[in-house]
Amino acid sequence: MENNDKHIKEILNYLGNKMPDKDRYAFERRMEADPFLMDAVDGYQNMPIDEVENILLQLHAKIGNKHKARIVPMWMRVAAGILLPLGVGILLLIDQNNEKANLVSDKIEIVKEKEPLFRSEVNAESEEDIVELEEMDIDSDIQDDVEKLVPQHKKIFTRQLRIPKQVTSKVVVEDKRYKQDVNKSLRYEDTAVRVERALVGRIEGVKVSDVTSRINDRAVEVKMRGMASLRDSFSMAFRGRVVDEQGIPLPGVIVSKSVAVGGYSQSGNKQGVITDFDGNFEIKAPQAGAVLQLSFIGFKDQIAVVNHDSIGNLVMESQQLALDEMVVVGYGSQKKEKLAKDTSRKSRVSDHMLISDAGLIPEPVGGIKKLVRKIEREFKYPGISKKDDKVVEVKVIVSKIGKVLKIETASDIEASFILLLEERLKTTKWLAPQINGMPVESSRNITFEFAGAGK
Amino acid sequence: MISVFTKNKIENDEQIIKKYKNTNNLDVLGDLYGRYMDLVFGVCLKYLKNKDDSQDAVIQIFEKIAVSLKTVEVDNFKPWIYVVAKNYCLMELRKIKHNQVSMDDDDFYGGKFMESTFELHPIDASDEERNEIALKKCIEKLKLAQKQSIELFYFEQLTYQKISDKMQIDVKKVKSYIQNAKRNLKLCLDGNGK
Repeated sequence: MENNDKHIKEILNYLGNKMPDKDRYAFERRMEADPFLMDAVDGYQNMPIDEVENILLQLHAKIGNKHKARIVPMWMRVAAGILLPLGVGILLLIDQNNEKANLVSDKIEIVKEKEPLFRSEVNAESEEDIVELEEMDIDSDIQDDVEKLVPQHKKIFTRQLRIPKQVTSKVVVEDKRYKQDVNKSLRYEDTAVRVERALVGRIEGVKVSDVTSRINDRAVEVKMRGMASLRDSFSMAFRGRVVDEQGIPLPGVIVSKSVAVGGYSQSGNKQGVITDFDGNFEIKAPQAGAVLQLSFIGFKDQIAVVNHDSIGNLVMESQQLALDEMVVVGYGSQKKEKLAKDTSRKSRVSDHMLISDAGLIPEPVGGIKKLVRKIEREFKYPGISKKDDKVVEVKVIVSKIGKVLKIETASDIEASFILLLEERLKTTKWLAPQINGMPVESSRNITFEFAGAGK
Repeated sequence: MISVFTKNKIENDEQIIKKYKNTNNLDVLGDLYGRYMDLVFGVCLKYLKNKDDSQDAVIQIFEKIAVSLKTVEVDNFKPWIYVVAKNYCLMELRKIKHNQVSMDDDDFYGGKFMESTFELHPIDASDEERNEIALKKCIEKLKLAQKQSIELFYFEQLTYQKISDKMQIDVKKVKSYIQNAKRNLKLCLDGNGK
């Protein structure tokens, strides 16, 4: 273990310029002689130093290198091994000297009642503390009395009796719990590592670093990156809303996963959902980065890339199918099919892009309603009485990457308040609307109703 | 109980490999791998240029060697793990480029042949062991920039940084001059021997 700490410490010292020139040179000489070290240093060069140690710790845990952590319980086990027979011996002594014990029991009766369970619970681990505590916790009154009454070789017994003082027993109990926790969490850690390993083998496309486990109080929680939970068969639900160019929600749009992503083959079962009355849909995709295909009659097919659990608004572009000329020819005895054939219909597809601002609105992560409610609760409008409400209309302009570029408000709004509001809106994550999978800059109007702060 | 105390004794790599072969205990191997894991991670970072992929690679390599160590004879673990790690990363890169793997296991775990590439360059040997005369002769034959870098580094004992200041070139350039010079030196020295 020493060996392995040394490498990384030296490398980080070297890269962080924390070495005197002489050591630097020595290290460089070693690098020249050891291509392994040279490559490793090259690798770390482009890596933020503060992250390195954390990652290495995680990796150590993953390969099951828990020896550092095991040192503590190992010691305890040794201590327990020695102290357990000692404890049993003490209890035997108590039995043998029941008579003598009665002599001193008057003194400690009250204390014992406070801790009635003490005897039955005493175990090797707490014994260790008892012995240690003995020195610093001398209750001289009792000690003197007891020593007078009890002959030399029963001294161990007197220690026992002095323990059930409120303070010390508390320490003991806490320590006991702590030790149990260490053992328990170690056990859980083992389980977690095993679960992780099992998962990686079993599910296609899952890499080890996708799996992280956390040890809870009682359970092991295994999570996989980019996936909601194990129960959901490793898929995540993505929500979005489909609107047309005017911003009117489109019900009945077919949303399907179109392209196989990241090793997940669709293999025929192209799962899809359709939007509800308000244009909303929810689709399960194996991971972020999946591509959705949207199709609806009268509109061009769209694709959308999902990156967050909420996709935001997706705008469908209409495809204008116009009936152009229609020639109806009638002959006396034409069959029905023929007639239908003779009716010619030309269609013309407009290749003209027709997108108005209305449909392209940015959506805050978590939803607009939630955000508005939250902000309304956070801020009070200054300068008006508490009973009054102030309606503030804000136009938020959001960039392609979901950043608030600026906000616009009516001129009658307090300037300082606008600044405050702008700051707040900038801290929110926004999702830019997509056209054919490409995010675009957009804006939306939001109406807030702020309570007055009082005059 | 006794094992508690013996466990703390530091075993060398080869002893651990033997122990692993006998017990198949992954913890034992984890101990060994842990000694070089930081270096392996560094190598992966160098080739894969991405910390997530590198983390994966570190684990994948561990899993690979857990299997291969049972059959492959390894005399010297450090150079071996270096070659395995490097090959793994190169293979990952190739996978990305061509979407296919074309390296068989023999190649992958290197044989004695691969290990020998790790052998010490004559110039990196300690001063007593160096064949100064032959070395000096060959250094004279180097191109100017390479010669300068080699002399400053090995004889004036300056750090890369100092050399880069002195020669007014980038640190990376210094390193590559030294590397190239060493390769040329090796060729020159080997030629003399024959």
